[in-house]
Amino acid sequence: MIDYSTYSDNELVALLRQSDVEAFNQIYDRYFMKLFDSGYKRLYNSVLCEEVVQDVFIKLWERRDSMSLTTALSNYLYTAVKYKVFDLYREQLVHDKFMQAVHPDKDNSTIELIFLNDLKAHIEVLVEGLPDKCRSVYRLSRVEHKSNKEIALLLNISEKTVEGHLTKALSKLKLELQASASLIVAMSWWLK
Amino acid sequence: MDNIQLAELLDRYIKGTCTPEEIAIINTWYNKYQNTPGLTETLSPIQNQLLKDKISQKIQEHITGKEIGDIKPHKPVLRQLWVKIAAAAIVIVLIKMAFFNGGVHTSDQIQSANNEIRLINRTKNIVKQVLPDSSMVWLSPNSRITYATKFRGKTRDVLMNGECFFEVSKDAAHPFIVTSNHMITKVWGTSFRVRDAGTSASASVTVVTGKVSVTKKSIVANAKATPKEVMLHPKEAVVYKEQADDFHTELNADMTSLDIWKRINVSFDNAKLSEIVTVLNKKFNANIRVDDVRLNDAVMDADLTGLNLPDVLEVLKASLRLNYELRDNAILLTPSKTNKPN
Repeated sequence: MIDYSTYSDNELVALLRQSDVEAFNQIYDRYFMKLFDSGYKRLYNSVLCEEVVQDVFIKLWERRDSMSLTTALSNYLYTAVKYKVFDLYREQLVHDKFMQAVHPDKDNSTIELIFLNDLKAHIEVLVEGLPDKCRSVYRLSRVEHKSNKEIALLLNISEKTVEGHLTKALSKLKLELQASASLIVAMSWWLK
Repeated sequence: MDNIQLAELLDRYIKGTCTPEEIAIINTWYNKYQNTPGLTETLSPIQNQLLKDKISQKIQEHITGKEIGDIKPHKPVLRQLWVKIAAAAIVIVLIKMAFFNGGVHTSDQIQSANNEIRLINRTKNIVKQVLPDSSMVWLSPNSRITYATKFRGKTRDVLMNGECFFEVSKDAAHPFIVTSNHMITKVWGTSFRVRDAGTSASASVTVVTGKVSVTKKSIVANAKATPKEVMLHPKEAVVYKEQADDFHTELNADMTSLDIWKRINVSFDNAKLSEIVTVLNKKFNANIRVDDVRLNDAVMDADLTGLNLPDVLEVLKASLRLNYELRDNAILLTPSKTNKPN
């Protein structure tokens, strides 16, 4: 009897590609709690987290043949959780819109609205920090998906100026994000 | 930014068509919650195990359903793991023992050096455990079970005390044998119940479907039926009286107490707990009571398809942050106490 718990993640992935069930079970054992919690931190709902973990592992099994070793297994799994979480957010947002139309008095949210509102606020704060003109160009372009030409017409400025504002907005956002992101990376390394 | 705009942004994020800045914005936000507490650290080891097993089972059912053709028959481990629960036989073993009245409210699982797992349920909940052959067992409060980490040899042997419900995966080549205080119950690929009440009282076995054999503990269990072995068919029961040291067969057994193990097909959409409890009581012929009126208004969405009552209670526990307690013949729902660290 081989003890799979002694295998490294990479070895398990190699075995998984050969449809080794025990390798799959070992990965599940190793990552179940971590992934469940990773989802829980952003959903605060254990039923949805079950869906997240289930989905991630089913996809892992279904895609076992094409699993590549270019990214670490842990990275792959945490990212899969993240995508699933955002997928659930998206579903909730669309569902809310739909429910509001059908039952305007009913609140059918399953995801804590705190998260959705916080995400909106997070984006707003970053955009809010931009200079006035820059901000309106950014909003029209990235939130309302208008073309540079349309924005130029709307704000009565040249297309070149629109491009200039946009470049400025994006690079400013980038700087802000790099500052906060590096802090978070440092913290998460610290706590590992 | 409204909901639809955010939904569109997330849609592009998932499809990989966001700009690098947008990706950075979303990732930064996501990472903000990296160090907030998760759920598993607030659960006991046994609760974590339950959660893990439950999801594992769902994953395996899903994979089995889709890839049944992938199963390689020459690999026994695969066959064991992907056994469909639909093909499972059901066994209930009910034995009441006198010596587990301790006040400790935890479950412990001990894996001893000789590769045996001993599980003792000291909670007031029903605790579920998956056995090496993917059979499942639900332990009532104050019950214990012992089995090998891997079933080897010709039989699947389980030793138990207390009250247990088994869903045994079908494997005719390896009989499933439950040894309890008074008797030995052998599954011939079916569903049935064993009830063994106390050291001084009686024991019984009730069959739901298929065939089961029961032998008195004093008789050595053989793989083949001996004259002392009682064969039971559906809706039949055998009662063992310790005083007489003998079996008595009942041809029309009362099956209502088996209802909590039925798997139901119900889902709730934005339903109040009080409504859910009413439906569950009817479906399971149970006596669930909400102990605290504040819980009645708790609302949940839940898909309870394919769950039995103990499974349903686990779902309620997790999603409504409540707890339950088996008291006499009732199930009391109580608000969850503040999570204690493990």
